[in-house]
This record gives sequence, structure tokens and C-alpha cells, in this order.
Amino acid sequence: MDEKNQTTGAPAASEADVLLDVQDLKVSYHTYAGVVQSVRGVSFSLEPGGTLAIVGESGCGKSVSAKAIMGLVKDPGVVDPQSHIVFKGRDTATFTKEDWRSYKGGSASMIFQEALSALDPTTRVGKQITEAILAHEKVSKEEAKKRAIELLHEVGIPEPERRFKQFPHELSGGMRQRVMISIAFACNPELLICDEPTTALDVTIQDQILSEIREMQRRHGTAVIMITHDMGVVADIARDMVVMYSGLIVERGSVADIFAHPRHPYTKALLAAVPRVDQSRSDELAAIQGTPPDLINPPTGCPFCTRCPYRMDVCTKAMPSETDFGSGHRASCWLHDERSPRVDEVIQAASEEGGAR
Amino acid sequence: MSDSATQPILSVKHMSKFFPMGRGSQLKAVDDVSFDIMPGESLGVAGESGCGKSTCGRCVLGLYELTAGEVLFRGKDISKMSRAEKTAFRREAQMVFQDPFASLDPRMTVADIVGEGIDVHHLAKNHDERTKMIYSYLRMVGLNEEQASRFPHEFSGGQRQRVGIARAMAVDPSFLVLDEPISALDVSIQAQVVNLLVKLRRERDLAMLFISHDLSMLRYISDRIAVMYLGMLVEIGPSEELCENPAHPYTKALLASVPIPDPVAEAERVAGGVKLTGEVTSPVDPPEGCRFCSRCPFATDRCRTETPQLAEVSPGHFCACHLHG
Repeated sequence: MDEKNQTTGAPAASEADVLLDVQDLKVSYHTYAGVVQSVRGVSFSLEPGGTLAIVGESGCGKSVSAKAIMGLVKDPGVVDPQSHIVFKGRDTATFTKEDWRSYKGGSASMIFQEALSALDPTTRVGKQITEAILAHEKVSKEEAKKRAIELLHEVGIPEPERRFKQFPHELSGGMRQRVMISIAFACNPELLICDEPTTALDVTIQDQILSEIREMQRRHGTAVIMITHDMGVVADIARDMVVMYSGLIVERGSVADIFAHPRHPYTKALLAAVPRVDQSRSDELAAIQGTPPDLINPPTGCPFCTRCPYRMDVCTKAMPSETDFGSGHRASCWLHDERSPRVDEVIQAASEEGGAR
Repeated sequence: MSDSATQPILSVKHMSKFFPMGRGSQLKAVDDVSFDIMPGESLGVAGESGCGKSTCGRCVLGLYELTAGEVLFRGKDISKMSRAEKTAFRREAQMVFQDPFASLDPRMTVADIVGEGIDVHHLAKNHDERTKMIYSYLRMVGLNEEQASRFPHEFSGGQRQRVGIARAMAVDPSFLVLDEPISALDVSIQAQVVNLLVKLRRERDLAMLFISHDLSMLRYISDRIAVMYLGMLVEIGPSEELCENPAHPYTKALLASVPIPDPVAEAERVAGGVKLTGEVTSPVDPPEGCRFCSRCPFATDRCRTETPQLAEVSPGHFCACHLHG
């Protein structure tokens, strides 16, 4: 329980225990239609070897946050200068070109959703792995090749010597994702960001890839940030999670706590919206009516209020602050404010009125 | 003629669809598949990519010419229908596509998209009635009248899928083929669309062929589930029975690979269960015998030589596996 505190608590107590500390991250994109505020002040931290899931719908800012951590936000995107991304005690804003070079792909690496577009179609997969090794370490080409073949073997690719010479198009989706994983682990990263690594894959392959990532993480002691919209994947791999909605974190805590007692109406709805394969169910699925707000003109109040069944007047007017439920579990919702009516009564009344939709 | 309540609305008999791949090889997308769908029944088709589930959906609507076998709609072979019968069939059987971005004409307004079927089948007597019908179908799927004059690009993914459903429903069909209708949508929006489909089915007594790779959703939405592997039907049965007591090793493995949104149950799933190794082999010139045998932990020599046939393992629950043969 105590270690969970450190991972999800906003400012970490001692720097030595923190691998990554993100403080008030804001990212905006300047488009013709206006300034899209994709990430609007996100803070979280991650300890070495920990696993954090970032959950949310498309457009909630989860991928943009990951890109910002990797220093991949490109024009027209702008990371707010007040934001702090601190990796092992050093703010990435102070990184020199050399620092970035050893950070990207060295101490921190990333796996993308579309392995086919992330890999170079004209380069043999072996070369793409050795390239990563040679860019970061002073080893001979032969040594790099040996390491690459070992890595391919490690992620469960049969006949690694033959695969080493093949092009990405000759591999299946699952194999490509395994190649991505071996590139990501080529330089023993301390941080791995996985951006929906299994969304494009079949369930049986997803299962294999998840256990591959789990195994590699265990072996290399890597900290993992898993970005996903699939609550099943969260339950599978992560110990801690943050739930994002329209560029903000609405709930954070350990996976066990949040799944057992979701505190934010959005988290509740997300958990109730999916049927389970291991349970029969005949009631209506809890659909969240409406769509997320426009991030060019984000609402002043709680961003979820237009879709929330428990909406109160205050929700449309002001942002709620985070309420602490102990052991790092926090949610930003007016229902938990001490001035609010008792939460249980409100929920009870709403569900009697015609269902928690 | 038998009573229409007991006669299947769709009957698929030994349906095969092979695509020539040149030099005499064949891609066996659907190989000797048979099943029935009763009026008002929802049959889910599950399987990994490349198992032939989408081809199956297209074949039953007559969008592909069959290599062998037949598809009977209300007892009539769809390939031998007269022109008038075919027109009636095209009205009664409709399709909802996976990609709500690619399946709607970007240059047509929503009213015209929904109204096209009404025009083709002359379902409205005059322009006013047509407009009224379009509005009522839009309302039925949760869109409003002001949105009728808009174009597809003005809608979100979930709304577009609603337009796709309204278009299919506008000709008052009795059978719908839904090809992965929710997989392009966000979780919260998926639930909206699924609830809409459940409601429509209840109100209009629609029969459905629901194609999806998402077993959790299939268990929720369909009466029966058919599991396909490399073009063959390996198991079919009532949804609850099939998910609780899967008979085929492939179905077992498929069910065991779905992550469960509950940390405790998920830890148990990861610790135990049948794990599937390897990947789907190529459907081009597949080997004799059971198609699954290269990945099956229970494969014997018999599996490699002899193709298993569907056999009943419990009432209404069939499985094609030598373990149950």
C-alpha cells in the first residue's frame, strides 16, 4: 500500500524513488480552427520499475502526454514552458541535444500502436534493431548483431537469424509488434511508454504481446507507462492508473482500489460500459450519453458535467479539486466535496430515478 | 410450406468461397460452412482476423458469388432468385459496415443517405412522406431532424454509425448483417450503439448476423455464437453455453485470451488457462485435416489427416473436433 502512494501521489517525497515526475503538463496545438488544448495540466509520477496505466477515450490527451514525455511534440504542438517533465531528477527542459539523444531510445523508449507505420518499410528488421544499439552504445557491428538476435529470441520470435534479414512487410502484425518491443528494449531503457500496443491485434496475439511486455519488464526492471482504452489491459498489466478526460486527470490510484471503488462518475461509467466475457449479463450497458467537449473552448467547470448523470449547478461553474481517499486514490469530482450532499444519497436517488446511465 | 415461425429466415448450406491466388493456388476464405438463423434471432460470428467471418457476411448477402453451396433466404436460393425476388431480398436483408468513415458517401447529406433506400424501393408515396420517414428513422437512432441536412463529416464516429444503422433500417429489413459495427468506436460510444441495436432488435424482431472479434460483446448481444477458424466453422452453440462450456480447444483458447476488466479475475486468468502459441497459418492452400492442429496442444495424427465434422456435444451446441467425435 505504501509504495502505491509514491507512484500516484503528485509531488514525490524523495527524489531517489522517482524515475519520472510530470508536473502540470500542458500541451496545445495551434490549428486554423483555433488553439486546441489537448493536455490541460496533468501531474503524475512513476517509480523505477513501476507500471502506470493511462486510460481514456480518443482525444483525451493520453497519447499527447506520452509524446510530450518523449519530447516528440512537433509543430503545431507546443508544450507549455511552465510544464515540468523531470526524468531522474533532471528537467527535460534543460536537456541539451546530446542529452535528448541518449534519452530518446536510450533511457526512455516507446512502442506505438501501428507497428507497420512505426517501422521503416525499406530496412531489414535486423538493421533497425542494430541501428538502435549502435546509436547508443560503443559496440562493434558483430556484437550489435549478436545482441539483436538475442533480443528477437527473447521476445519469442522463432528462427531469429532468418527474421533478422527480413523486411517488416514479410512479418505478421504480432511479429512486427515483437520487433518493436525488441527495438524498445535494445538499450535497456529505464522507462518504456506503450501507446495502445495491442489495439490493432487479435486477442490471442494481444495476450502473447502483453505477457511478452510483462516478462521483459520483469527481466530488465523497466518502468512502464501503458496507454490504453481497454480496462481489461489495465487490469492485466498495471499496478497504478490515471483516468484522463478532456486533457485532465479525473481519477488516480492503484488499479485494485479504482476497480473496486471507482470514485469519479466517468470511471464508474467506463467500467460499467463493457460486458465481461466471463459473466453473463442481461441488463442494458451503461452508455455515456453525448460526446466529450470541444477542447478549443474547454468548459470552465468539470469537463464531464454535460454527460454526467449526477450533475449539480456547481459542476458547470467551477473545476472541482482532488479529493483524497487514502493510499494515493484521488478523484476530482464535486460529489466528494464536503459541501456536497451525501454522495451515496445522490447516487441512490439517481439510480432509483431510472438507472445509472 | 412449413410455419414461418419455425422456418429459418436464413439457411446457409455447405457454403464455400475460394479466391484464386494465381498459379492454381486458392485462398479458402470460407470452406463448407452451414448454419441457420431463425427470424428474430441474433447469431454472432467470432474469430481472428483472416478467419473468413467478413467474407461469410458478404456471401450471405449475395455480395460474392459462392464457389460451392447455397444460401437460402426464406427458403429461396438467393443465386436463383428472379429479378423481383432479388429486389425484395435486397430490401429485406441489409448491412451495417465497420468503418463509419468509409461507408457513407461524403457528398450526400444524411437525409439523402437514409432516403436512398426509400427511393430505390419506392417506399414513400410522395416527397412529404419520404421526408417524414427519414425524420422518423433518424429519431429512431437518436439523431434529430436538424441534422438531416448535414454531411457525414460533420458527425462524430458514433453518430456516423447511427446514420449507417438508420440507412439500413430505412427499408424496414427483417435481417441485418453487422460487420464489426462497433470496433472503430470508443468504449463509451460502443455501449450507445450496442444498446441501440438491442432496442431495435427487440422492437422490430430483427434477425442479425453480428460479426465481431469481441467475444464479450458477442456474449452480450447474440443468442448463439459461431466460432470460425481459417474459413471453417469449428463451434456453434447458445452464447451462454458456449462461453461457459466451450468444447473446441480453439474456442477455449480464444475465451482464455480475453483480458478481464477486474484485477483479481485477470490475475487468475493470466496464471491459469490454455495459452495459444503461434499464429494463424495462411488460408492459402490449407493442409488436410483440422486447420487448427498446428496450434492445438491436443493434436494427434488423426487431426492431421482427417477433417473433423460438426457433432452435437450438448443440445444445440455443435463442435468440430476429434476430441468430441
